[in-house]
Amino acid sequence: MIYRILGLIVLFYFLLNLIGMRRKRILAPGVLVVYQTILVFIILSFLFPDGANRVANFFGITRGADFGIYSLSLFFLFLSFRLVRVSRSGQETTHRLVRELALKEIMVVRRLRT
Amino acid sequence: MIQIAFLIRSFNESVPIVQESLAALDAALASHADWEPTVILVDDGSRPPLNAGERTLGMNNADLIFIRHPIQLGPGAALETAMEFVRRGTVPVDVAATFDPDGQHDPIDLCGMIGELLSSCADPAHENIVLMGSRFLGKAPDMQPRRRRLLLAARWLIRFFYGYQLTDAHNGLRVFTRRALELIRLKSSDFSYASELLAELRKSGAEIREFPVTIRYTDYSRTKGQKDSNAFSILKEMLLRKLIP
Repeated sequence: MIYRILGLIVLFYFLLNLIGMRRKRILAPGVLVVYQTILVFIILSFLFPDGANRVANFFGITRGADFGIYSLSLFFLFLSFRLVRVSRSGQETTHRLVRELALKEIMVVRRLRT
Repeated sequence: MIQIAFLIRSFNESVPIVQESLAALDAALASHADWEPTVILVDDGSRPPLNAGERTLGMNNADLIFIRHPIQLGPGAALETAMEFVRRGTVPVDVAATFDPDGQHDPIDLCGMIGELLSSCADPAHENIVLMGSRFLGKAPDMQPRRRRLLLAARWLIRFFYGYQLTDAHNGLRVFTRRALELIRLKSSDFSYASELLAELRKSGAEIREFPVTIRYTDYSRTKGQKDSNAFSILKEMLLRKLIP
């Protein structure tokens, strides 16, 4: 029981953080919806373990725990793709900035023989 | 006059070696009076910074444009900076050529490649053609067997990923028409830029030809050039760019 309570506290903390991010527009609305849906599903399966089994059955999977593992695998794949995109975009911005600075201060050495 | 830009990147290169490479290029250019050459040298945040003063790197037959990244970005990003400078049209350029100033490349080969491209291309501003050096069509006398095996494996990977049947995909000697340069953008900052370049050329519909060149491996170029272990990070980056464009 204690693990369930602790888990719920952590999950609600993340849910509140996500709501805060929505207000501050830190994440894109589509991404927020995905995160919130997953969190709400996890919270519900903590509160009603049998409900998770019913959802799993609906998708043709026997146990709720198995359904959770499959969903989380997909979620982590989505998250890692997104992280690559975010880190690449940050790096490209830095490179563009450094390039602009460099191109503003070029030095010309004229040929010695004209 | 044909306007030629030589795009060179340098990171912590030894000044005498850069001077030697530029002197060799200068000598090769002496026999091409009908060319208007400009060398665009990008120092990729070297520590200490490369001194590009007239006495250090001044050339007889070409103007030198020196660009310095305040921090190191990587070889791909340095090449993209030189390409971006050309695209902005500050200096008129018909043909752009790349080579490494670490003593591996022979500027005479590069001038031969430019001559070959110019002889087969009537209008570099509108024709999308790239000529790439190939050590497997030419010579690489001191190439280590392990490097040869890696490059041969890269040949198959390039064919699989990009559909180009090249004998030497990771050769630093390349000649681009102005049109070809305008249609590509490099985002990879590390050595995987060579593969990304092929992907960009394929996307732009460029015609790629190969030209036999000689690569000289020296103790200096072995310590400065690509490490064999880079092959894994290049492969990883190729896969990532295919999976997550």
